[in-house]
Amino acid sequence: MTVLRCASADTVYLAPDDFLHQTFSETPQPSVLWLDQAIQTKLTAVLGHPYPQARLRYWRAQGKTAWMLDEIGKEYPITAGFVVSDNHIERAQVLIYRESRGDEIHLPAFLRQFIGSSLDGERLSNKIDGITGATLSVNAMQRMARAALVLNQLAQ
Amino acid sequence: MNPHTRSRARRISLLLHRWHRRIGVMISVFIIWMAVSGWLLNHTAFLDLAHRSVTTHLIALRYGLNEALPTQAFNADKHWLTFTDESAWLDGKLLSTPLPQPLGLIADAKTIYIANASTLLLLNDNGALIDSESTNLLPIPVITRIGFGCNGIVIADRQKQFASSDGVNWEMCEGDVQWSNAQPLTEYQLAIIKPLVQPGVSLERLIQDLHSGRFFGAWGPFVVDAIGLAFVLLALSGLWMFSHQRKQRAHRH
Repeated sequence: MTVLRCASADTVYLAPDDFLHQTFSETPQPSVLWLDQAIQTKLTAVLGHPYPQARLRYWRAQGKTAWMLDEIGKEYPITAGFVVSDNHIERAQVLIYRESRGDEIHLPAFLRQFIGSSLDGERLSNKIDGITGATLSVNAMQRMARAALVLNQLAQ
Repeated sequence: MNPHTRSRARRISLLLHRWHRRIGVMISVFIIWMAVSGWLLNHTAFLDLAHRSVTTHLIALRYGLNEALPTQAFNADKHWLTFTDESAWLDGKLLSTPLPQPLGLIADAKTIYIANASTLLLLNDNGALIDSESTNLLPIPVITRIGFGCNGIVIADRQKQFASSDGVNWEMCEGDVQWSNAQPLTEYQLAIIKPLVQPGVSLERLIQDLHSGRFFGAWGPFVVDAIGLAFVLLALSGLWMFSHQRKQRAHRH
C-alpha cells in the first residue's frame, strides 16, 4: 500500500494577505523562525506531532505577532491565522478550509472563544465549546491556537 | 386456546424456527462483514484509511483507472521531478507534500525549490519540507515559471519576475534567468518510476463501496438492501418466537 493524497475543495474564507492587511496598519516584512529539535519538541507537546516544516514565517509589528499555521482536521490541512499580543490570542481566523465537513469553525461565534486565551500549561486558558459534526476541526483549531502561543513565546 | 388454533400456532412456530435458522446461517457472513466494515468506517481518521491506497490491477480495472505513466521530468543538479495528474515524484520518491501540476524544479546546494501556479515548495536535500509558500504571500498572484537568476531563485508571471535568495524576501529581477523546462523522461528515470505509478483508490472508499454494495455494480446496493430486509425478518421472527414461547410457558403453568 502507498500513501495517496486526494484533491480537496479549498474554501478560502480570508486570503492570507488580507489577514495580514487587517492585522497590521502596514504589513511588515516576514520574519523566519527555524523549527529546530528543541522547538519541535515543544510543538509536539501542544500539537501531538512535530510541525511538518523546518521553518515558519511570521509577522511582527505594533507589539503583536501574526502566525499562519496548517493542521489536518480529518484528511486535509486547515489553514488558520492567529494574532498574539502579550501572550494572549488577540484574533483567530480560519483562512482556508479543505475538509468536506466541519466548516462551522469559521463562524465568528466559535472563533470569539479563542480571544484572550493564553497557555495554561499546555492547555488553553479559555474553555472552547465543541461543535457537533466538527469535532476534528475544532480540535485542530485548538491545537493550532496552542502552537501559535508557544511559537510567540519562542520568537520573543 | 382450542386445539386447532394451538396446532396452527405450533406449525407457524416450527416454520419460523426453520427459516430463522436458514436466514441466520445464510447472512451470517454478511452480518460479520457489515459489522466489521462499519467499525472500520467509524474510525477512518484514527486508522488513516483515507490516505491508504489499494493499488491492484483488479481494483484499477473495477474503477476504470488508467495507468498513465509520466513522460516528462524537470531536472536540476542531481534532482529530478516527474509527475502525473495525480501525483509527483522527486528523485523517484512520492513528493511528501502534494503539489499538482508542477511548473519547474530548481536546486542549489541546500534547497530544492518546486513551484506550481499557486505554491512554491522549499525542500531539503532529502525531500523533507522546509517551507510552503502560497502566492497569496508572494509578490505575484500566479506563478508561470521558475528559474535561476539575479543571484537567486526567480519566480515569474507573464509580466514580472522576482528573485530571492531565501524564499522569504523578494526583489524585482530584470537580469537573465535560466528557466526550468520539462524534458523527456530518460530510460533510467522511467525504469524507476514505472513500478511506482499504480492507480488506486483509498481504502476508505473501497470499504465504503463494499459496505454499501456499490463495488459490485448497479445491483450491489439492492443485494445489500435484501440483506437488510433479511436482518429485519430475523429480528421479527426472533421476537415472534420469543413471545410465542413465553405465552406457551405461561399457558403450561
